[in-house]
Amino acid sequence: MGNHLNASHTAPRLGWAARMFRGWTSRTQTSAAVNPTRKAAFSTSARLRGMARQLAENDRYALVLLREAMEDITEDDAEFAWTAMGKQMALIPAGTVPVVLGDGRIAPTEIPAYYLDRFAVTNRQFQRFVEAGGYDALEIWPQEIWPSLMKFVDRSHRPGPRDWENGRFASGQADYPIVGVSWYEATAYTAWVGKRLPSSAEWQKAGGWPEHFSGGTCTRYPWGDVFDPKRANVGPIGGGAIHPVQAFPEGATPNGIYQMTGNVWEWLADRLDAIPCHREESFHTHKPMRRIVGGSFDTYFPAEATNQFVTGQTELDRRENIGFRCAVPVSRLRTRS
Amino acid sequence: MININCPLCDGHLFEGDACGTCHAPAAVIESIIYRESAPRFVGVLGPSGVGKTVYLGMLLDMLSRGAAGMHGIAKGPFSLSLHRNLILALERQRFPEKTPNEADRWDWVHCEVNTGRRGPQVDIVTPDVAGEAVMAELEHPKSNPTIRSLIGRCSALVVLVDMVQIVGDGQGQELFAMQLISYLDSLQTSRRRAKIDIPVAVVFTKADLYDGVVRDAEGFARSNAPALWRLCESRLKYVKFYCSGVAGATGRLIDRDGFETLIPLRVEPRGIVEPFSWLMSKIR
Repeated sequence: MGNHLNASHTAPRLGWAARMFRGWTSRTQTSAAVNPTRKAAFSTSARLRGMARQLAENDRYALVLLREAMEDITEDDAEFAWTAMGKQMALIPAGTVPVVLGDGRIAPTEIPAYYLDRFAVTNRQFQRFVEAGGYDALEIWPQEIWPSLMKFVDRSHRPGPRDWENGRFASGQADYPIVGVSWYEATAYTAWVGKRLPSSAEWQKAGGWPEHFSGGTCTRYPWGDVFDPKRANVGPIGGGAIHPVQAFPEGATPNGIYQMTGNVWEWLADRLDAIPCHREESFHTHKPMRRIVGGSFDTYFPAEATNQFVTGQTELDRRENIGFRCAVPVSRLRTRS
Repeated sequence: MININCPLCDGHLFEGDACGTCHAPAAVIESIIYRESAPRFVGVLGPSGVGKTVYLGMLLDMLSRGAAGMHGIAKGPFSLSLHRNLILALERQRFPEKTPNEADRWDWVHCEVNTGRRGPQVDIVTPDVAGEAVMAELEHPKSNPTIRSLIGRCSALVVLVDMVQIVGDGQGQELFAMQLISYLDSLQTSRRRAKIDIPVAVVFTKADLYDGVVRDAEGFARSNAPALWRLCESRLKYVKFYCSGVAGATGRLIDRDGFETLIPLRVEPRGIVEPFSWLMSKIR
């Protein structure tokens, strides 16, 4: 950790995925030079292939598909990762949509094409991040948060989400959305899998699609403009508890994205710097906040579970009703052959 | 004109009139005086700004939807006034305006609560009082007949304590709650040595301002309001501590004059029905 803290980066750096693959390659080559017999046993390309497959199998397929890693990844390995991505992410086509901004104004916004996770990140997925030492990999955490990393511990004071114990989630909850993580932990996870958090505009487009259903604006809920308690875990319908990420399929978007309304709030990339208010009033937060969206099992007003509702949470808070999902812009990915 | 007694303070009044002594409105008196069972008064008290209106209004809304096996029906349009004002404010991401100090301007609530198959039907009657009036009565007993009558007649009491001030601003809130319990004690003239047998729920409000709403309310009381905790343990036969919150998160609005207003960023009620449900189990 100390080496990372003192590292100074003066030269332009490669992206993380490229450095990961290249770094691994150079280590293999050094090792092979020291012991020539190993060179015969493991070719670099074979090892890279194994690594790419392993990443794809562990839901880190986006790393394999990033443009910056293109030189190191074969078409075959990329195809394996594309297949994994197709199962787990939905493509949101590019387009200009009227987006409700934080202050309530509506602005036509051009949104480039991107992929969005079909499901919120689960405990099982986040477990891999914890076990891989994600909390110690300073490279994926913003420098300003390094001093606070030691506070991101579970009930047994191990690195991990707030309500885990001994670095593990509760039994039977593998497919439940990860909760009890701060905005920074969510962001670190997204970087670890080669993705990022979605923006509010991206969320509105994905959750309110197709726009012409609502007269040219994004719909309030993934299924339309009228709340339907059977389609989402909001309020009493879910018994006041979190459900697995595959629950409530009737509430999915037409292209198969689940729980954009209900179950748990989800962190967005945007700062919360405005809410709808009078012209002579200005909005301020007690501490830096990020937007969250979608409502949760304990949301009281369904109107707060819409794609457009503006609310947020302090970046460092680790609430039991806030999780997240990942996005990746098409422009960051290699072209599929 | 028929001469009747006020169901809250026992003062004489004519049918159709508001009570001139405790300011109970005529609609409230008419709503409860001819019911078969005597109404149960539940006091929801605390200092100014603690969140009495929010707590009471949210409780009414949750009971009207049905919660914790209970279902409440507001009796009379006056009972919906406070409820409506709160919900309209929360929907606009605002807290309701401050309750006026004058007793004749307070919103009153009469809610018929069905507590399930085995439980009794309970009439909850309470005014949404201003914290200043409570403080005035505690400091100068008999100065405010509404507060005195309410505390004297209540079957259960919710004492609200501002958690933010407990954590950050010294002992003011703790001392207020202690004054209130001592006052309640002083009204029990017949059995001085016995513990007070009116169930009291001590509710720490605004717990939503803290990450990870405090789960161990009694532990919080013991550590952060030790004198209050000891007084409750020694003088109250039935007492339980709760943490409550209505907003999932809060922010601030500052107007052009620099006046700052706390606002709720969303509604996630916690610890609202639980204290009430416990109180109902104790007054059966």
